[in-house]
Amino acid sequence: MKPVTLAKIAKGSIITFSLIGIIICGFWYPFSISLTTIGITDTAPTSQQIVRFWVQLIFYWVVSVPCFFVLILFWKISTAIRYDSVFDNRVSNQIKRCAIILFSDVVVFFVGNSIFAIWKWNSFLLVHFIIGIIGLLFAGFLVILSYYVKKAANLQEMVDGTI
Amino acid sequence: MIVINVDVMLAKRKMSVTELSEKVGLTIANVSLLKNGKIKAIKLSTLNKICEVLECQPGDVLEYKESI
Repeated sequence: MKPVTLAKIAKGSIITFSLIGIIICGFWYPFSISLTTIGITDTAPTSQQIVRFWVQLIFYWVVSVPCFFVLILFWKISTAIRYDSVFDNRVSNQIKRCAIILFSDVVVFFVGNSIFAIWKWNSFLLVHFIIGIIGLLFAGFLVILSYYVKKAANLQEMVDGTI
Repeated sequence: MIVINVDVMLAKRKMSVTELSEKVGLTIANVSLLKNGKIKAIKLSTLNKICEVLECQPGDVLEYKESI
């Protein structure tokens, strides 16, 4: 498969993930948080319920921002794929940066979810704890990938300098 | 450090960089890198070809100088 094709696949995946992220942030979060904090009721929500709703919603929006930033970094990496220059120390550093951002985001995510769980437990939080664990595993995978891309970059530099 | 004296041998054999690159099978860019000492490694097969084309010994092309 040619690097151009691989880059198109990577960019297509990033766009798809971005759209899914926007749909989750824009529609699923408000809908499911309102279900778990306010519920389906004919009466007006209490001020406590409204506060809980907005605090949770704003928190999940804020922790989603680093994920979009990671997608931007992946977009830059897909440009490197297009020019077949993935085995480069800059790419390795970008992957490592993604891992650090994701890991920090997951830590904040877990802390926030724990506070919400103490406040009032619901199944929405359980799903997010599982998503957090998946995020943590993905961050770990990125650390490993960064290490091997760096190793490959050093080998590439050696090969490029060999005649 | 290893110093590459290809330009000395090219002058002795009155050969151009282009001619050397064609005979050895390297790109002109790689021969330039070789001349300027910017290569990191050289394959024995390449060194073999260079010595064959320039009719010289490896020691005529490669020289060790103590780095300061």
